Amino acid sequence: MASEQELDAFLRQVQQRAFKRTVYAVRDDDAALDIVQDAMIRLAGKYGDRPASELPPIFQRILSNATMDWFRHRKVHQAVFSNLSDFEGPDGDDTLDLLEILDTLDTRSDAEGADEQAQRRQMLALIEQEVAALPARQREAFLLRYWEEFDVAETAAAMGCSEGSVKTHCSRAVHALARALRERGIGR
Amino acid sequence: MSRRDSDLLEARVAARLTALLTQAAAELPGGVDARLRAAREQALDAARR
Repeated sequence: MASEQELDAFLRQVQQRAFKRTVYAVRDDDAALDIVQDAMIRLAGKYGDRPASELPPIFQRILSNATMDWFRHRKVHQAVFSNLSDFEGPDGDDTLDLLEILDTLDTRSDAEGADEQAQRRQMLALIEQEVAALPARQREAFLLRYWEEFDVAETAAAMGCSEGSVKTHCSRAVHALARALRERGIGR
Repeated sequence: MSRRDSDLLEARVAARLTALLTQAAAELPGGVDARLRAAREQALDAARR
C-alpha cells in the first residue's frame, strides 16, 4: 500500500506532464486543471491502497478516461484525421535532419541572449502545437510511451489496446511530428 | 535503412521531442502551480478518508 508520502511524491512528479497532456487534448487550461484534479482525487480515493509501483499506469488510465468523459459531456469530439499515406516521407533522411536540429534545441546555455531565448520558446510552442494536433490515440501512445516512459506493455494496458497497436500509434506519431515540423521549417 | 535502425532513430527523435516538451512543461501559465497544489491536497484528503 502506498504511503501518503509516496502518493504525494508521485502526484508532484506527474502533475505538470498530466496537465500538459490534458491541455494538448482539450485545448483549455481550466478544463485541463479540472480533469487533472478529478483524476488525482479518483486515484487517491479509490486506489490509494495500491502499492506505489502500481500508481503510474492506474493514474494514466484514470486521466485518459476522465478526458474522454469530458469530451462526451461536451458532445465534442476533437478527432484530428491526418492523411497518413505519406507520413513516412523520405527514408529517414529528413528525420535525421530533424534529430540534429532537435539536438541543438535541447542544449540550453546560460549564455543565451534574449533573441535566442525567444526563438527557443517559439520552437517549443511549435512542437507543442504539433503534438496537440496529433490524432488522439497517437498522441496518447506517444506521450505515455516516451514522456511517461512506460514500456510497450504498460502503455497498452493504460490505453486498453494491444502492444502492436501501441507500436503502430507511436511510430505514426513520431513520423507525423517529423513531417509536420519539417513543413513548418524545422529540420530543413 | 533497416527496421532496427528505423526503430532506433524513432526512439531518438521521440526522446528529443519529449525532452523539449519537459522544458515547455516547466514554464506553466500563471496560477496553474497553485491549482495543481490544491488538487494534490484534495487528493491526499480523499486518501485519508
